Amino acid sequence: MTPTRIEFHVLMALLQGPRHGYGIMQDVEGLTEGQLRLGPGTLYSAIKRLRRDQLLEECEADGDRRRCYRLTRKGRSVAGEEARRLVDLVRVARKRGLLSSTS
Amino acid sequence: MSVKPERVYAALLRLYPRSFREAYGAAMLETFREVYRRDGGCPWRFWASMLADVARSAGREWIDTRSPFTLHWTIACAGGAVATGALGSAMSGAFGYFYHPYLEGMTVPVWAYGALLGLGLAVTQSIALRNRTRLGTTWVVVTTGSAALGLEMAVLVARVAGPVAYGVVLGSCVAGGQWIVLRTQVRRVGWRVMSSAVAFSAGVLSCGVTLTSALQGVNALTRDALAMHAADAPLPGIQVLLRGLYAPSGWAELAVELGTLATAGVIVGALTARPLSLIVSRAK
Repeated sequence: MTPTRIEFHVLMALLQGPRHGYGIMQDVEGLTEGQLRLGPGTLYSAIKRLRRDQLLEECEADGDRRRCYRLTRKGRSVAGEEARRLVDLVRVARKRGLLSSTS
Repeated sequence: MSVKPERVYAALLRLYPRSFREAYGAAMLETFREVYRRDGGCPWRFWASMLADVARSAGREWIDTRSPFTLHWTIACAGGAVATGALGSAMSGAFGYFYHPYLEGMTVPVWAYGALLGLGLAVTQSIALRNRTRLGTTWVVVTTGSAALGLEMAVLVARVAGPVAYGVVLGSCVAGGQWIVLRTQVRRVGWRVMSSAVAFSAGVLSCGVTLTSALQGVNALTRDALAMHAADAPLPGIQVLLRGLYAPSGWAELAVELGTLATAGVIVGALTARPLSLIVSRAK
């Protein structure tokens, strides 16, 4: 199972612990230094697919009424696999001279 | 009186499929409020990004809710209509390119263009239906034949009832022929097939002007009394559209014609997919 770029970023945002929708958006924006800004539609569409694939689940809301989400064990494992796949890809790109060894 | 941004976004949420809206609509609205508080300072940029987000994600959700058959069927109908239009325009272009005085007065019979239209639709539709029903060749033959007959009848009726009758008569004939074939597979298909017939009529009706122009294109040396002339159109904007639909003389006009046919194909496909998928699932 290969998550899309947006799904992978949502999984990454949840690695630090449960988040509500807006929290995920802020986290993704911070992680990508503003390069990836998710709208509510894109975010919840990704959340729907990730829940369907059992990569994340809804958790008990805290003080406020906002829904929050957390990674499942499967979600953590899929995120790890995807990260390793990307590292391998970068290694190949370096080997082929697409990236310098310092970048 | 200003409209609250939340109310605008709540209205936009109606563009999503009901199941998605019910599951995530409230959470999306809550998230929207927070994003608006943060980014709402520049309304144009904010709403441009929100509209793009809604268009992208709602489109994806609608595709997600459709079965693979519905998608294949809709693409097949649109592809068939576009392929037919492209072939008609290619024939028209070839006819003009190889023009010789010997050809003066020569015309292609109306039923031949009808058969071409039916063949274009039937081939792409039968690709979508393959492995799902045992219609195959019968579907192609009946659709081609009923479109040929339908267009001959449409021209006769249109002389009395006007160009729009092309769509109604042709659509009813094609749908009627396909209904007869489907009845050999499934009994008591009932009103669902009627909705298919109405959808075909509506879809073909929407490209009635294109059909008129396509007939003119094939019969490039004749001038049918039913032809719609761009110069007769009351508004300049409509003149431009009709010029594109009447007889494409450039790539832009051809694109307008094919775009219209694709839209008509999507309408036909989207409206007929559900009843047809029920019929196909019964046939299994």
